[in-house]
Amino acid sequence: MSLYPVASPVPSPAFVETIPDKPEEACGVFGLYAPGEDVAKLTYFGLFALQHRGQESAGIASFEREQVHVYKDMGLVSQVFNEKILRQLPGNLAVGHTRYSTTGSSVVVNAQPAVLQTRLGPLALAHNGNLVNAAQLRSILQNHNCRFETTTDSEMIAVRSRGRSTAARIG
Amino acid sequence: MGARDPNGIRPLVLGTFLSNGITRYVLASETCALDIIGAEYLREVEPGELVWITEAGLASFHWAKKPERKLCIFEMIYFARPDSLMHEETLYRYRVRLGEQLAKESPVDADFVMGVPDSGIPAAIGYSRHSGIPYEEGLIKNRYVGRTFIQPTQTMRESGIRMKLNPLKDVLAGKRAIIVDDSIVRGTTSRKIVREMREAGAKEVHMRISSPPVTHPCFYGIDTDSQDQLIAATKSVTEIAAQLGVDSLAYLSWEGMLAATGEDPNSFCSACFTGDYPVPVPDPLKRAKLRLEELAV
Repeated sequence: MSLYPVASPVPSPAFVETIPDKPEEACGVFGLYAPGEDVAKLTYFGLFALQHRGQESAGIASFEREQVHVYKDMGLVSQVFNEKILRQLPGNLAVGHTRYSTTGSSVVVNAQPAVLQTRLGPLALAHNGNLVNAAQLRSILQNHNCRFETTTDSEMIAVRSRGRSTAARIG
Repeated sequence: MGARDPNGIRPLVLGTFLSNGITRYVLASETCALDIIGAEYLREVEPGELVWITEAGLASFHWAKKPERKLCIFEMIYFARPDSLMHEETLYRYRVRLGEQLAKESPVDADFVMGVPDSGIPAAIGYSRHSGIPYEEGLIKNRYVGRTFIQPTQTMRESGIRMKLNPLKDVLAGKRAIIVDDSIVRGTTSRKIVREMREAGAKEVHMRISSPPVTHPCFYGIDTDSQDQLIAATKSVTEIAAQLGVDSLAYLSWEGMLAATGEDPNSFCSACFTGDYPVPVPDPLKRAKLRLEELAV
């Protein structure tokens, strides 16, 4: 977890007039494996096209052999990333996420991809959806001495997968 | 690695592109994200499938014991971009058919049909096509505003939503309008739009909605309000029409919405319209969003 930006204050959505009276999509996810390509940049454009699926936060994790680079922050994809930041996300594969919070509050620590160190190497997870049994799962995992860094349900998938896989997970 | 839940409620697609002569794989929520990077749509990740992408290519595992497709119908009606593919066609085409079906079910005489930009436009085109009533633009959306957190001035606040949607007075004045939207959730925006249309001189406003009334909250990754905030959970169509200030209001039937997909009607989750949740929701979570009993209405 190399590149966490400083958490920016989350503005309260006071100007409700401009917020559409529609249900809000939970998340958009994107991932690819393409050695020799600028995977972070391709992921950026993928997220850019998925912006309608979540406007609260955006993040990209890239993998360079065993090392993971991650950058995520509150805001639109085009506000979170610039050329300089994308250059700091080298690698052969990347996963990206745009988020609208449905579980867990709207703070930068809950932005995705969620990155964990596992026995077999780092793991980054981008998740779209809700775990309906989140409360139950969290207590089971806590009983197994799993620790959490966020208040999201998605992190539990990553924690559950810990030790089982090395690659980036998306979905 | 990409995985989809056993019901495939949220979408996930696979694409390919050539990089230095090698086929590479990409995963995305929707096909519009493949288009932007020049990748070709290959197929969707199946409900209960896990795909593993490595140097050797793509490996697929079916991990769920009993996968059963329950794609969120709201993805098709509203959420996903109209240029994304589902069931081998763009969602634009599906949404046009919803409008055609709506015109079939709930006709009304008027001078023109318009859509609420942008999400109501494909269905408005379909309504116009089926009814033979001309299509017009009656509201122009400022597509560059996005979300703003800057507080408007008091004067602006009183003028309502014009910052985002501006009515075309010379189109609306003295005319009978049919306005098509994809859905109504709380009804707050719809009410403002109707008021704006009246102020711009519309003689009659007939609202047509290209989905059924939203009566139940979503527990599968969509932020619908709790049930007490959903206008259709507590009010009849007649009451909603009165609250919105329209001359008539009609929603698309549940059957019509599913028939227009051309797919097995059982392969969708439509719990927000029926309360029939395909994945059991634990009680405490359910109680948090189902607050009807606490409402003293």
